[in-house]
Amino acid sequence: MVLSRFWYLVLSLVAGAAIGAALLAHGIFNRQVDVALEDALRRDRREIEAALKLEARAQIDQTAAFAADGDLRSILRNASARTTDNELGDLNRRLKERLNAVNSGLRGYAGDIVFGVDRQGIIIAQLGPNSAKFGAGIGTFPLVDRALSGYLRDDAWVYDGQAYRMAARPIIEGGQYVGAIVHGKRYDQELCERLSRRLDGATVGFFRADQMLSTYAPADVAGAPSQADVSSHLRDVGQDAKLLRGEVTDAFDVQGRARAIYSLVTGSASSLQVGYVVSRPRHALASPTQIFERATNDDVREVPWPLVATVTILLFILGMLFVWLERDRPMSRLRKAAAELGQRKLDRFDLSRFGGGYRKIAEGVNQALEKVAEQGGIVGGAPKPANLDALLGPTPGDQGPSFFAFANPGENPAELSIPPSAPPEQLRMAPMPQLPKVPAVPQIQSPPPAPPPIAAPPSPPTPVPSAAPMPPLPPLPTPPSIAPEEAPESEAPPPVPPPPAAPAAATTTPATPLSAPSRPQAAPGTSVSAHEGPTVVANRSPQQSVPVIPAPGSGPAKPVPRPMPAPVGGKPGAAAAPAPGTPPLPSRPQPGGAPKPAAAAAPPGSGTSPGGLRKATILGMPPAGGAETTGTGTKVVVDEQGGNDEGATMITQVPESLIQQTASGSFRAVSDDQAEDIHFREVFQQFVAMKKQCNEPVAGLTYEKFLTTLKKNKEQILTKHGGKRVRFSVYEKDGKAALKATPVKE
Amino acid sequence: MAVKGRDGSQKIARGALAGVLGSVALLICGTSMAVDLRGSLRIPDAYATQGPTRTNERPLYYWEEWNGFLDPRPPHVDAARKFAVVLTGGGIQAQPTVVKLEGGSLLPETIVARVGTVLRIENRDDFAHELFVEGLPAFSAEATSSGAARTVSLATAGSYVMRDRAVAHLEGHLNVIPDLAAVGTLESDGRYAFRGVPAGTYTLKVFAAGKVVASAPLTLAEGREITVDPLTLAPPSAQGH
Repeated sequence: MVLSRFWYLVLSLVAGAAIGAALLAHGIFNRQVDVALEDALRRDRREIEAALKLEARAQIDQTAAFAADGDLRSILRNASARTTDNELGDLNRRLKERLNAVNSGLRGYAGDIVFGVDRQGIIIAQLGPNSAKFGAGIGTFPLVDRALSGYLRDDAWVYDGQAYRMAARPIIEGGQYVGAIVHGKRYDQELCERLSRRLDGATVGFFRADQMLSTYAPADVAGAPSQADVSSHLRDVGQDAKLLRGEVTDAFDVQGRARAIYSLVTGSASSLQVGYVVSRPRHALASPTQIFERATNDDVREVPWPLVATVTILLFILGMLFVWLERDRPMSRLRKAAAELGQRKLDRFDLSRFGGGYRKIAEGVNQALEKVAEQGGIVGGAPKPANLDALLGPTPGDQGPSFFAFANPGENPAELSIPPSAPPEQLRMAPMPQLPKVPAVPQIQSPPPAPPPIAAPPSPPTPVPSAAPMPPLPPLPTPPSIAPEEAPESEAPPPVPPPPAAPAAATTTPATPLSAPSRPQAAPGTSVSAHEGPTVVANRSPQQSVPVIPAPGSGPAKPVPRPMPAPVGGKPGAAAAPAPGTPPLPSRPQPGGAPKPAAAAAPPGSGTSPGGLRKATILGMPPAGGAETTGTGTKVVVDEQGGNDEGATMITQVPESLIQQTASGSFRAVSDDQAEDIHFREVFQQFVAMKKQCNEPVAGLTYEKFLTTLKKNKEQILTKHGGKRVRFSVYEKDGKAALKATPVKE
Repeated sequence: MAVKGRDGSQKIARGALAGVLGSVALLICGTSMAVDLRGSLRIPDAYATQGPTRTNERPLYYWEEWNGFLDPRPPHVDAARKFAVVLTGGGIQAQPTVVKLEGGSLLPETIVARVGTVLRIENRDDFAHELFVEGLPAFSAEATSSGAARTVSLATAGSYVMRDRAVAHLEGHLNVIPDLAAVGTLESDGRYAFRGVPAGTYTLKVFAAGKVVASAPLTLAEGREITVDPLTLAPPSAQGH
C-alpha cells in the first residue's frame, strides 16, 4: 500500500498547500485592497481640492453681478461718503433690496450670506440669518480687507457659528473704491453630493472640530460609509498631528468596512478645524471562499477549464490506478484463491502470491486450516508437529511431482523392458542397506523384452510459480515378478540404512559405481547395480547441485543427484533388475519441453554416457513420459545419451547375486506400514542431513514431530488426490532443506 | 461780648477762605504738575503687509487677483490696531485696560496691561466671540455675545497670544508688565498722546504684538504739553514675525 499511502500523502500535502495558498491569497488580496483603497482616497482628496478651487473661482465670478449693478454701486458710494450714521437706515434698506435682487438671479450660486460693506468695512446691508445691526463691521477680516484694497479673493469663514465658503469683490464707483461685496455659501449637502458624484461613489462630508456639518453617501454604492461612520473618528482626527499641520491624514479604518481620510479646507477657517472627509467602502474578503462571489463572467471565462479538468481527471485516474494496484488486484487474487480453496482445488494459500496485509490474511487462513487439520488428525494430545508447511513448497523449476528423471526432448531414449511384477499386496521390498561393492555388471546376453511404457503418477495440482509444468508421467509399471513365497511378512523390517553419503564421500568410492543411499534389495532375478533398486528421482531444477556419482572406471567422480528416497511399497519386483544390457535410464525432460520417451535400448555394457553417468536399469519405476506398460513388464524409456540429465538417476544392472538372492526368497518382505515407517525414517534422516548441509539448526527437530507432520500432510494429500501412498523427498531450496510430497497411485 | 462775637466770626470766615483758597491752589498746582505727552511713530512699510500668524500650513485662499479696473489701494497699517504705546516706570499705576472687539478683531490687537489689574473686553461686533489665551487658565475660551463684555484678572506677567474660537483670523497679543504707568492713545496714522501724566522719569515703549519695537527714556518736567520726536519702530522681521 505504499503507492496509495504515498498518494494520500501527496493529496494531503496538496490540500494543505491549497488551504495555505487560499489563506495567503486571502491576506494578500485584502492587503492589496487596502493599498488600492488608500490610493483611491488620496486621488479623491486631490479631486476635492480641485473641485473646491473651481467652486471658489465660480463663486468669485458670480459676485461680478453685484459689482455690475449701478444702484448698488451708488448706494455704497453714498454710504462711504456719509458723515453721520443717520443715513444708515435708508442706505441699509436700499442696499438690501439690491442685494436681494441680484442674489436671487445667481441661481445655483445664490449666496447664503451676502454683505455689502463701505470702504471702511462697515456693514451697510446683509442678506442671510441674523442681520447685523447698524455700524457693525467686518473690515478686519482678511478677505474684506483685501477686497477693499481692490482684490478678488476667496476664503473660508466661520461666521456666527456657521461655516461658509466666501468670495469677495471690490465695488468701484467713480474711479474710487466705494466698498465691497462679500458673498458666502455654506458647506452644505448639495456641495457634498456634487463632490461625491464627481468622485464616482465616495462619501464626502464637511466637519468643524468634532461635529459634522454635512455629508453625502451615495445610495447606489454597496457598503458606502454613512455620516455616522465618518464622524466616528472626528475626536481622533482633531488630535492628528498631520491634520494640525494642515496635511491630509492617513487613512482611518471605519469599523473595518471602510477607509476615510480627513483634510482641512483652504482658508482662514482651517485654523478652526474646518475640513472635509472622503471615504470609500472596503471590499475585503471576510474568508477565502468569498473570492468566488467576486468572480465576474470574464474572470470565469479566463480560467483554462480544459486544463483544469484534464489535470483533475489525470490525478483521479492515477489515484484509482494506485488503488487498483494495491487493493483491488491483490483482493481479487485473494478472492480467487479463496474460491479455489473452497472448491478444494487448493489445500492452502500460496503465500508467495500475496503481499502485505493480504499475505497475513492468507497466513492466518493457512494456520486456521492447520489447526482444523490438527484437531482432526491428532489423537491423545500429540504434540504439535514442526511446521513443515513452510518448508513444503514448490520445488524450484518444479514441472510437476514426479519421482523420475525425464528424457530430453528430441533424443532417442533407450528402452528398457521391465519384467512384470507380482501383485503389490503379495510382496513388498524392504529398504536395502548399503550394499558392498558390486562386481562388474554381467552382460545381458539376450535383449530384454521391451518394457511397457510407464505412466508417471499424476502430480498433485500444487501451485508452482515459475517452473514449467511437467508432462504427466506414465503410470507406474507393474514391478518385475519376484518370488512371493520367500518374502516372510512377519519378519521385522530391515534396519534403516544410513543416510546418503555426501558428494565428497561419493567420490571416495571410485570402485562403486553410482554410490547412492540405501536402496531396496533387488528381487531375485533382477540385476541391481550399485545404484540399485527402483530409484525415485524427484524433479529438481537443473541448478540443483547433485552428488558426484563416479562411473565405473571413469576416473574422477561426476555430480550425481541428491540422495533420493527409496521407493516404499514399490511394485513387487521393482528391485528386480532387468537383464544385463538393460537400456539406461531415460533422462529427465527439460523444463518447458515435453519429455520424449527414451528410446533405443543400449547394448549391454555400452559403457558410460557422454555425461559420465553409467546407463542403468530402472527397476520397476518408470520414467516420466517415457514408459509403456506391456503385458510382460514395463517398458521404460531411458535417455541413452544421458545428455543434460543433471540429477537424472541412472541405475546400473542389478548384480546377479542379488537377483539370485531375491529369487531364492532370502529377500524379506515388509508390510505397508513398516515400509512407510522406514520411508519416513529415511526421509527424516535425509532431511536432517540436508539441514546440516545447509547449516540450519536441527535442535528441537525430533522424529516424532517430523513424523506427525508427514502423516498430516500425507492424509491431506491422499484425501485430496487419492492414492495409496505418499512419497516424500528432500531437496535443497534457496539454501534450506525442503520436502516434497507426491501421492502414489497403484 | 459783642466785640468778642464779632471777632470769632471773622476768624471762622478767614479760615474758610483760606481753606478754599488753598484747595484751589493745590488744584492749580496739581494740574499744572501733570504733563501731556504727544508724539508720533514712524512705521516701516513692512508692517502693512504683515499678516496674522499662521497656525497651519493650509493656504488662506485659492484665488487672489487684481480687479482689473482700478489700481489696488496701497497697503496701509492701522497703527491703532497694530501697536500699543505705553509709559513705564515713574512710580505710578496705570488704570485697568479696556479692549474692544470691533470690526471682527481686537482693538487694539496689541494689549499692554499691568500685573494685578483686570482686563476688560467689550464686544461691539454683531456676532459672538470666544477669546482665549493658551497657557493662562484665567483666560479660557468663553463666549462673549454681541454687546457683552468680559473681564479677566491678570495675575501673572508675561506675553500671551490671544485667539478666538469663533473668528478664525482674530489674533491678539497680551503683554502683562509690572511697571506699566500709562497707556497712550494711538491713532491710525501713528500719532499718539498721553494726557495728565505726572512729571517724572519714564520710559516710552511701543509694543507690536508681543515685542517692544521701540523705547525711549523720558523725563517729564512740569509743563502742560510735551512733544517728543517721532519714534521709529523696528521692522517686523527683526521682531520675528
